[in-house]
Amino acid sequence: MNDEKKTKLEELECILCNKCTMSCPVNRVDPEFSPRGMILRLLMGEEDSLIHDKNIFRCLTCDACRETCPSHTKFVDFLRQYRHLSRQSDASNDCKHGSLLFSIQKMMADLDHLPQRRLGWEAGLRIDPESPVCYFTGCLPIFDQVFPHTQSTKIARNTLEILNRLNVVPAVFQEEKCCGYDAYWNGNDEVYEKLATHNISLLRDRKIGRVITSCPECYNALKFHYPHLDPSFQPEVLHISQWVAQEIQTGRLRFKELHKKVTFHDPCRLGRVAKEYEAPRIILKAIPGLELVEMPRNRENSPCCGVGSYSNCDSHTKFLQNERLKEAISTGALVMGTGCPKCRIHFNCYLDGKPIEEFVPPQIEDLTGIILEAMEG
Amino acid sequence: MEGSRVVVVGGGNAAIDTARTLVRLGCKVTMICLEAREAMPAIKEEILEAEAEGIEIRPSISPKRFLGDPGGRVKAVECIEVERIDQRPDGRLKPIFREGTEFNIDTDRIILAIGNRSDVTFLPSGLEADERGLIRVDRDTFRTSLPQVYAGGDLVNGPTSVVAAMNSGKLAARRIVCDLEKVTYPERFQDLVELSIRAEDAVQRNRGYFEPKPRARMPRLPLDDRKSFQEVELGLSEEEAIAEAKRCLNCGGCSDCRECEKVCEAKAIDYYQREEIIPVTVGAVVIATGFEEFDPVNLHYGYGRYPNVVTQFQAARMMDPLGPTQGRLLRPSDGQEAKRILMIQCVGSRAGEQNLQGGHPYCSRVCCMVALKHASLIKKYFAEDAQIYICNIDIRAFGKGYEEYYEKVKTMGVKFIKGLPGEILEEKETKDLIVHVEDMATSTLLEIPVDLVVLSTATEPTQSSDLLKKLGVARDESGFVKEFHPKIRPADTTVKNIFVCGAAQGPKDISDTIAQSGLAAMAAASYLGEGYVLLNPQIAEVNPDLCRACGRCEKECEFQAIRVDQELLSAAVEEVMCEGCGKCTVVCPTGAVSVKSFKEKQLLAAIDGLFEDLPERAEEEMAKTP
Amino acid sequence: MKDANISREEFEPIVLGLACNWCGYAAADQAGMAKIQYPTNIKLARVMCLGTVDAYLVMNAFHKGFDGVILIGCHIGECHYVSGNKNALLVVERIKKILDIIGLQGERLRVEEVSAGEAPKFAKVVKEFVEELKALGPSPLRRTEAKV
Repeated sequence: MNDEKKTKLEELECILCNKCTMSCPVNRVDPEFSPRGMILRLLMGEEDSLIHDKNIFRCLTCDACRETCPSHTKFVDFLRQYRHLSRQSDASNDCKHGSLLFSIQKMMADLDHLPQRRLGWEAGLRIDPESPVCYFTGCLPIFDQVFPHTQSTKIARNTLEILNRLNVVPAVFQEEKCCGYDAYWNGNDEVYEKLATHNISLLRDRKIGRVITSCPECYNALKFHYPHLDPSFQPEVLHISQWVAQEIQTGRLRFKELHKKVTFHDPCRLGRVAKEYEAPRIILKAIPGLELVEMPRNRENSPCCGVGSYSNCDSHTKFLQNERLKEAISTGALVMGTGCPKCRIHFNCYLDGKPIEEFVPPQIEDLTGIILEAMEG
Repeated sequence: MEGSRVVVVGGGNAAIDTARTLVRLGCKVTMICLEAREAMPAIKEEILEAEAEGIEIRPSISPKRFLGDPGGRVKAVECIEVERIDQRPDGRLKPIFREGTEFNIDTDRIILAIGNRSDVTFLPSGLEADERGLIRVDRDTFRTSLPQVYAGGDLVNGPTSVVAAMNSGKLAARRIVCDLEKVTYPERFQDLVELSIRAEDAVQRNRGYFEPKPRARMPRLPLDDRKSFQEVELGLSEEEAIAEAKRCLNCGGCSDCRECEKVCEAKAIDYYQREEIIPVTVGAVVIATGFEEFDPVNLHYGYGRYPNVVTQFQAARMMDPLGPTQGRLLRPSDGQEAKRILMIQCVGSRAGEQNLQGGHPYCSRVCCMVALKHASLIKKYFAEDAQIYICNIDIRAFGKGYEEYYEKVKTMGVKFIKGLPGEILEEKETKDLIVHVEDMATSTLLEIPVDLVVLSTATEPTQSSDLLKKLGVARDESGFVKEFHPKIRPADTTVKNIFVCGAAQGPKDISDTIAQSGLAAMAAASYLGEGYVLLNPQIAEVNPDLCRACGRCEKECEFQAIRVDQELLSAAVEEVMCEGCGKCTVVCPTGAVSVKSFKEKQLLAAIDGLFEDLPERAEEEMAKTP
Repeated sequence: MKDANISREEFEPIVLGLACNWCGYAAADQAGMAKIQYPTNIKLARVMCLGTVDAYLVMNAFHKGFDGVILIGCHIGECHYVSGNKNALLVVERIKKILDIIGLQGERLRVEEVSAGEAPKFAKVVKEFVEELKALGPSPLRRTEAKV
């Protein structure tokens, strides 16, 4: 079990002030879900009931509670261990997409040295297996099959094209496996460790010095979680927004005009968790003609898109998505940019069905799409 | 009056009317006005007519003083030339005179026709007006600055015409109604809004039907005869009036004159009748929307190009004694009786999977018998000596008595050619048709000259697809309503309480239609009359805690058995309709819907069990091999 | 479950057959009654319609260790529930791609149209699939005791 963060109850320093529950997005739509309530139950010695409580999988692990907590209690890390315990006692009950993706991840973990056929999406773009820079694709090709209407590999293609245009020809590996972030956060520790070990060996064997990824969850896994597993794993890890922002600031990248009114939705995993708020904004502000408007809740106050690491998706999720999309159009923007492929999937999934309120939603665009459009002009 | 001189001051229609009246009273008239000739507000034609009648029109002249004799009678008008007319900031016009250009016009009378001004003295304060005394209103709503006070007409627009004033009043009245009833204009006057939209469309659509024609020239009274008040415009003759009326584009539709109401002896027209949508709640629906005829215009048989190529439906109309040709089978080109007739089968049907030439792959079932029937009718009742050919692939005489009928028709001398024509040519002079066809039975290429070609066109499913879409019934690849099972339940659809019969389900003739209609009626009646419905226990159910109300299950279900309840924001299963197929479970993003007896856990357990079962056997098998 | 190294020659694939109630399963029944032989490698599970088979069921089967999964159902246009088999085709396409991505060979999944009266076709299809799987070899997941 990963003990990189304070996970023992005694070390939590929780003062039971309830600020976490008040700032929790799930609590807002379902008062039955309460972070403080869970800690309280543990204090009362009801550990067993917590392990068997389905509610522990409804937490979005969005870190809104930690942001508000006066003691900076790391509630999500604390909860994660109970998810692990729950898995061990077979008490878990995943949602549909979650169970499918977890079983795929488990299979990837258990299958060793197998001829994966994940490449093909990069046709027409340049990759170089000898490069010290790696573009870590993640599960985007799999998302294309599970969520066909969202076309997630487009984000991969956009990222690779952006890199190519700026004269970076990265390596993209056929043997790459899921980063394991979902497995970790859902308590599937063995799966996570197997996947992480595999990826660490792969990147080390290929002498990768810099990893660029377009998914904030892969970013967090590679940058923060992997070194805890293996301290010698220390390549430079960048989210594509950070790399592009660097290129802008050193003057190597200038955009053509692009007239759009855009608002930016900070993904939990890029914003609150990785503390990267400014890189996307540097990019958007550097595009001439693009008008960036901020939603009332932005940066550390940006609410979660409604689903975290596929732990949950139920009757309450749609309210969160509806609220955020309304907030987006209230700014007058027609486009909502986001830096996370999963946020894009979840918002599009909501828009793909009947909305609970009628309004004209914004177009959901990944940051890479906007960057590429501004590069082409 | 007669012989006196009159000066009319003014440049508008009132001045012209006055001048032309005076001329008829025998006066000598001079018109003076401030405006330059081009700027005179009067109708141009009137100005020309006035001058033609001898009125002297002097534009750009302003009266300066009226000069009279000591007795108080007017003697002359002192005038001055107008250099130009400026517009003051408050909107009023200011003429600029040319200094030193004064001159006199001698006259006996002066008549002022310089326009009117509204008397607004009686109006309450607080009513905003402009500098000219015109009331300010909102152009759309006619509201003034005072609540519940509206204004229109000359008071708002300045002096215009009576018609404009009436229009203003009518529009304002409608707006007042809307304000009082607190509804929007489109809600309240929906039909008027639609009328204006339709008028636009109608003008565009009708343009193609009309040739441009100039307006009729209105005959006018000769100048010499214009001494009296007889109307100058004499009016059109009857022919001219009818021709002029024919220029009408008829874009407005009904003009609300209600003449039709007056004239109808059966009192069948109700002017106040409005479209009503009446909801009717029923327990079962029977679809009997019938068929439409395949349009053979794109085929190579010349339909639509050669006048003497018709379809069987058209031939039937001609042969109807109450029809347009009073029961005679005529050639459309010259109205002569058709004596040599060639029928072509399978037009628009049996076109293979590639839908050759836009045709359908299916056999349209009825056309062979129709052709035989028509051939028989022609021989029996119209022309015993008619030469009739029927080009076919097969003759399908499948029903009771049909084969015997076919034999009979053969004995009448009707010729059957096994092959469909490759080409049809038209003789320019006679408009006869030359049909090129290979008779496969004798392997000969034939060129047959005929008077009339009759195409046996296929029946197609009717285009009322909007209605069928709303009913949600499944349709087959050709567009016919899909029966639940072609053999066992041919009158049922996939939806439990919707039934189908007749040509809507597939091409069929009258006897089969009657049979199937009886079945549909009975099925509907017994469904309703049963008093209970047997439910399949293995049906879907929804866990509302997981349901996202996304509606994907509703979209997927062909049986209309699951719907999102917008109040509860959760899907709900209509137990009577659910067949238990489980398609909804696959599209549900959260797994909220599952089928009883086939829940995921159960299926997984089954798979588990199956897997555990095998290794023993596998080992046994392996043990057997040497 | 026992085993570890199954050599290629001795290898008997374990196949999961998902058969729809109205066509596939009925065909299997017919085959049985007509005494038409088909390989015992296949284990049949009955579902009402192939349209109810979703990705997780199939993934789960592979994860369990099945060497191959075959869906047997009605011909297109003849689905008892109108379009269930069409949906199944789409789902199968997607699962195949995922299997390819993770290295599990999309060829291990198949869909076949067999109507209730086509018992000989049922047997033929199963035989062919088993032969192909023999050539592909055992599923890499068969070695492990994977807990689902």
